[in-house]
Amino acid sequence: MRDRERLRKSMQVYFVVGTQDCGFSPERTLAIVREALAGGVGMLQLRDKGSRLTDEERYRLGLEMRALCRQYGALFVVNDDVSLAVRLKADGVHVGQDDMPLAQVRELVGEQMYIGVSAGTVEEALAAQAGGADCLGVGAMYATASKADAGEPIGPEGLRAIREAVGSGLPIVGIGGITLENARNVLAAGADGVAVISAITRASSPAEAARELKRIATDAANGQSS
Amino acid sequence: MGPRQPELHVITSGRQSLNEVLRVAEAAFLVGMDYLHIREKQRTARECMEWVEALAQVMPRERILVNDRVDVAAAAGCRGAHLAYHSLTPAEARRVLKPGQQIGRSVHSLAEAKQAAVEGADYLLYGHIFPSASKPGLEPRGTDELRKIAAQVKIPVIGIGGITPENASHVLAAGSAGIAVLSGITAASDPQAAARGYREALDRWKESQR
Repeated sequence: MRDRERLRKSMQVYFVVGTQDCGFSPERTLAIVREALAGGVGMLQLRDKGSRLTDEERYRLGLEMRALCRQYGALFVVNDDVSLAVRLKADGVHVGQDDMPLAQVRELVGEQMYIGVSAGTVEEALAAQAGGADCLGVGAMYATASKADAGEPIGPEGLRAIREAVGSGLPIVGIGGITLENARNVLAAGADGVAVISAITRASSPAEAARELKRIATDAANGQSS
Repeated sequence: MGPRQPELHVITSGRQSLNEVLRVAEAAFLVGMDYLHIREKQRTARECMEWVEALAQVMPRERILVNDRVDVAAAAGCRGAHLAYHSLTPAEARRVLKPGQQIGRSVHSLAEAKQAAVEGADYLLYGHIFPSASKPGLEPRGTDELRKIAAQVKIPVIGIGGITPENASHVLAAGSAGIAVLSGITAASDPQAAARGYREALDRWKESQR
């Protein structure tokens, strides 16, 4: 069953990754994913964009990721490709603003799967909420090299405005250019977690980077509740 | 996509339907099975091929090995073929398989193990080590010969036969690179719980070696 509190807790450290972030090597990607999960990543998104994999190879990579997530108790999410998410029996699917209407996504994925939606403005966030999104990916927080079409950063202030508009019930993860140094600002603006790519893939130790992000997010969550 | 060490292999029994094996494979892969061996001696090449294709929907193709049927392994592009005494030799199988595919060989003595390694096997399966329901009446071989093989042969050796989560550490301590399980997982009332039990035993052993 979908459980928003589990989702909120899982997304504290949300790792988004594809082979394009890991030297186009599925083996390298999985090695980094394993380390990141061991370090404390609670939610993993397969976002294999502009990579060199065939559909079949991407499916196999997804199977490996799903199994690793299961073994580490993390949620596994597929970016954009709704049919791949269904085929992989993922825990969730994450869709952008340009993808299909949410009602249609829900129809395809069924009632069990989480649906995350990207939002860059208050209007987009409210529309996603009204459409039945389980969580939001809000960004870009900062300028990023990992996603060429990310648009102008809206910063933690943009996230704060979205948090105020949707209320406290909807889990939000900040995304875009987040590092160990600026993650606190994103969480302080009302995010439940931070989504990162290069903060983990380019770390000298992905496990250590994930562990540090987890510590920052846990501190922020405790600070807010007390 | 490399498996973790030590490896957990699961071997089909030849007595379950494809649907049953699909359920076992999907569940076991999710909790840490590294390889599934399709060992279905009574089935035709056509059927074995259909098994690989169906199983590749629930677990990665690179983690499927086909027992004996080198032709099926080559055509399916799976991890490779596992050979028995009555199969092609590793050198012969190599002529059929594609580059990168693995060849395993079942062995029962140090001499056989050395021979298989010379012929180009990538890994060995040695057993049976403990008394097992799959080989009733056969005297188990224990871990002494396994220890010699692991010390004298360069390729990885996987132990098989009557291995449980409780005795797995003895097999690993003898130098094996992993274990293979049949009914301990495929015939368990909860195959996923059983696979998890084996995985945890292997991980515990690895942790204890640090």
